[in-house]
Amino acid sequence: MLKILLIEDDSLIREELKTLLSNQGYQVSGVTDFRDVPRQVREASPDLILLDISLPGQDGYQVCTAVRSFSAVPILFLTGRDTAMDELQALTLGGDDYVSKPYNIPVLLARIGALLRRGAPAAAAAGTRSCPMEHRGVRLDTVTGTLTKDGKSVELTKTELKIMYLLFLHPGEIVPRADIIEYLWDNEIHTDDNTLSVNVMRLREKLRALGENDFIQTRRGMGYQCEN
Amino acid sequence: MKLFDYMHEIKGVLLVCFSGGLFFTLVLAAFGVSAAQLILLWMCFCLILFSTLVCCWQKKRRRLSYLRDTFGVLEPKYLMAEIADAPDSALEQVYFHMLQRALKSMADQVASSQRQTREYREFLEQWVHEIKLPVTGIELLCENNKTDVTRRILAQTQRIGQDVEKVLFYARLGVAEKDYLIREISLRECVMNVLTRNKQLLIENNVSVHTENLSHKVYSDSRWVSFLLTQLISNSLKYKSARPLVLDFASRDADGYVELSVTDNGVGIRQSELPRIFDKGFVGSNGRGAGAATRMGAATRMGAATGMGAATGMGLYLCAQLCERLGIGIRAESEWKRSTSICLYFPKDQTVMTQN
Repeated sequence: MLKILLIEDDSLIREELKTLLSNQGYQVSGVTDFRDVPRQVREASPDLILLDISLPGQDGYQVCTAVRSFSAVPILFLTGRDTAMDELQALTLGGDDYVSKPYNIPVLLARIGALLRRGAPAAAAAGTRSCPMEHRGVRLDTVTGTLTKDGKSVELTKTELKIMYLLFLHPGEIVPRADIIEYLWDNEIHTDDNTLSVNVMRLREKLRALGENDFIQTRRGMGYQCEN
Repeated sequence: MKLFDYMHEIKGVLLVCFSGGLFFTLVLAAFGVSAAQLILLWMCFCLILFSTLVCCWQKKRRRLSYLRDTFGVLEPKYLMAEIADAPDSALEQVYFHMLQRALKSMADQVASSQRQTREYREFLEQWVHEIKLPVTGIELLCENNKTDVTRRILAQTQRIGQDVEKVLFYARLGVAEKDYLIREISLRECVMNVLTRNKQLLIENNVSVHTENLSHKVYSDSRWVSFLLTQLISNSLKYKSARPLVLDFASRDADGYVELSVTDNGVGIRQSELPRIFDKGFVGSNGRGAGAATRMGAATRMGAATGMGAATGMGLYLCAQLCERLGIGIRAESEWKRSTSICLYFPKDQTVMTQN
């Protein structure tokens, strides 16, 4: 598991970032004593450092320079300031990237992923499964974007594919509409509530063509479910 | 100053000279000086008088010309008394001295005013920096505990983010130092970032977005362009119609520019109001309810009644100001009750960008 070291003095942000990153499968530790930070870095020996620029008694740039003297570990600057000068300074002092508050969460996670891939290409892969998925005899191939059953197959549009993928990830569970819409938005498909209903209707028609009449069930007021 | 004006100014002196000349002519005539000698004397007298007059006139003219030239190129003008050479005539010295003191007192006022503005702006920057901490905390809390309620909270914090950004950029507008980092940015990436940052707010308002034709790259500052796009989205949200809002982002080549258009299917803007939408503090007749709200006070009352935020009329003004500083063209088109389209024009030639 990849180790991330958090150097952030606001305790709420630090704790929540820890939760966020642990949920993503990283091993996270946070610095709470801000005296001699470089030593703590050396002891922790992380795969990535998230470094806040405004720290008590010192600034993040000094810490970065100190760490750079003994380690080339990727450093992602976190900060509340967002002037061009700050960004330039961060990058020229040995930082690898720069994210400003309030954090654009998907972007933050993507950048962390990118920095870790750069450092350890094999270990960092935590992407979506590209292997085919199956539920009740219906196979979803995410590479070709098709649903197959008993030798018959139908092609799915990009949106239908994403919806189906999400439902396949939670077989037997109710997936709330809000989750589906948000998942689509995270994948650059910016649909509204109506469009979601239309897409599910189309999916059902395609499933009917495969002989599956009740594959996706509507749970009123809650979401959709792939019946077990 | 024309010769005639100068003569008019010293007409008293001229009058005395000529009266004196006349007097002495009569006296000399009484002493028996001949007419021919008198005429000769008069001619010499006139010659001396005239050449002295012309010399004095030229001297004055040169002085005035110098003052005018100095004043013409001087910036700021209230430093006139410090820059211009000291005068030699006693009267001018008095005026000059007064001018110096008056202008110095004004320069002190200006410096004090500038210092106050700078202190206020620095305080604002610091405040924005501070306020981002709890907002980030809230957003992380919501992200880690995804429920319907927290999604709605996130939508509201995204609104807070938009308004905080507006304050920050307004404060930075007046600054002499230019806070730009011009580099190649992908319009698609920029738009996606903005959409992600306002995701919950847009989803909650049942907005759907089309972003198919966004392949262009331009040279600009990504943060400021993000701010522009956020303001345009915020406007579209504010002025949407009863039907679900659809936003369309598209880019295309246009004549030496890359045009980025943001189109919505909202209430639109009246043709009569279209030329004024970028004016500071302009609040049009839009919004719910009947009647035109042409003053901010009226807009606030109306806003309070309908639960909609009070329109400050600053959003598009800020956008226009920013665009001017960044060398981006901005234009609006609208069909009343059907759609509104705001287009940004990024110059293709990178060198055009560095005018500021």
